[in-house]
Amino acid sequence: MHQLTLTQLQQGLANGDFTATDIAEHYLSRIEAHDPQLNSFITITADQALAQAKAADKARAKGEAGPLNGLPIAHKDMFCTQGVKTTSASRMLDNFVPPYNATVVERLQQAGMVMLGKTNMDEFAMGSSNTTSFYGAVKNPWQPDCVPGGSSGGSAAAVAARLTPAATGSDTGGSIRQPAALTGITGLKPTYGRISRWGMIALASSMDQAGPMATTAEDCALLLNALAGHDNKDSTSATQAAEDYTQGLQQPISGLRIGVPEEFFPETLSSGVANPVRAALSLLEEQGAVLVPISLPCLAWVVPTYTALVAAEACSNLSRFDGVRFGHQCDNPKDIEDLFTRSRSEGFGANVKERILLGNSMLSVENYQRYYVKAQQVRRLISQALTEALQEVDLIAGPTTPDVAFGFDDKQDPVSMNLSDTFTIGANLAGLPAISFPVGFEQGLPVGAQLIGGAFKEAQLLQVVHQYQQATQWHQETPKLGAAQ
Amino acid sequence: MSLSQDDLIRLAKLSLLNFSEAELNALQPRLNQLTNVIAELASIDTQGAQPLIHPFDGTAPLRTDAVTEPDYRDQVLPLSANTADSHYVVPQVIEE
Repeated sequence: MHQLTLTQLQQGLANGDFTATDIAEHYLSRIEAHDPQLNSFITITADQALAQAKAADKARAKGEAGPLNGLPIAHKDMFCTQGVKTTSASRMLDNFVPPYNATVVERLQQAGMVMLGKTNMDEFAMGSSNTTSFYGAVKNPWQPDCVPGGSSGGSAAAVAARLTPAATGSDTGGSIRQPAALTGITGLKPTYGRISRWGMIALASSMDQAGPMATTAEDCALLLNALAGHDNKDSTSATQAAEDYTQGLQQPISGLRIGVPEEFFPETLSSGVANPVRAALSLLEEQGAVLVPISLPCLAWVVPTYTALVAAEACSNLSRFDGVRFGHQCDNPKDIEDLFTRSRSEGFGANVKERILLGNSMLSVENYQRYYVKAQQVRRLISQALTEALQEVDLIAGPTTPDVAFGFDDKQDPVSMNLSDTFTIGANLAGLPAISFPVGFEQGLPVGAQLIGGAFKEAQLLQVVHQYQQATQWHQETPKLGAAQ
Repeated sequence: MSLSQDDLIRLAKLSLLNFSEAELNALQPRLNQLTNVIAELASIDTQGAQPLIHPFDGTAPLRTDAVTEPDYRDQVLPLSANTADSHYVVPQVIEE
């Protein structure tokens, strides 16, 4: 059953081959058997899942089942879930049980999906390795001595290991696409504002965007149908009408112009990554797409720009954690400043504290104009360059990451870690949609390719990847897990 | 741009974070690696480029100034570690 996609499970439910309860029980038993080795979940909501599955079965019996009714989902632990602990993988929120659902959670719940649990992540979504979680690192199901990527590493590992057919993630600089690439699954970062951020614990508010992670583009489209759309509760939520993202999947890609920036294939890029990505582009060409060499020199600026802006926005967002209203509170504070300072110092992990210091440095009077505003100006140039390129071509393509999954002891310095997002950051700075999908393996580890589209062109991205996945099997490869199930 | 130990002590205070001397010693080279990366921005010609604060420029949506949500106090207050009646409890702020 766990080899089936969300779409195939949907069909099985409609045919009466199995019930939502059968599916929930199957995945919960897989989580119980395999997650102790992977650590991809922070909280497993077995009782709730079985109750939701039972309700979904009842709804189906009454003829009230929508497309997602009875299908399992796991939520990244930064989406607030009513009555279920939501931690953002931080000690700061180890005791936080939200009284409300994030819009992402609410919409999927209203659609009848069954929540299996909350997935592990880098603390407050800061990271590309899923090694900074208060609840321990997540292991890559393909090679347990390697990271799954981050920050949505728990969601990616859980989908790759088929502990859930789909999960939610968030992407500020690549946090859906990079772990999707490193674990061999499909992950979509929609256009900024396409999915509501309400109830999503913020990292950098001008870049954060929720999105679906699954084995196929078709499944991502199915999820996006429920997730996309305006939300009054999020003032940055897009007002453009959502569409049926599954409708155009079968359309051929003939004549589609795909720009291939030379900067996405630097001389330093390993052939183990470059070759599968180039092969994928060749296949798209065989399917009718036109590959157009382009140049985007601005891509050299994305890492410094992102490093400055994400730290500044993150430190502002994290200033709300003061130990008073919710979250960790220190014992016996001697005065108000001691309450704030010790609560924050005990609650935040080392990586988060590092980013807060950097962010406050960027916002200090000496650096504000020189670096913070400068980074925003450079962001304008990057955004303009990407938007102009997308007037000449329909999509921009390249590798998702410069390397396959790295070992737990690699990339200890923060600069190397940021460089692993070097190909993904541009889409966040410009607010554009982008998708990562599996295109091969290098030494037993998955390789991902990325497509970046014009604003609100999610349907096109999903269509191209779906057409690619109709002609390939990379998305069907599954890792061999330790304990048999 | 380079951050000294004194800079870090000042930033830590502004950030309401405590660090031991050993922690600051370990942080300094890591932060300076990051500031060196950020310093690359200085060489980019941004003449005439307006700062991009948000991916899609537009006006903030307005709504009628009316109450739309019920009173959630009973659900929200228990999230705090220390409350009394309908208030959050913090150490005394004003000197007697």
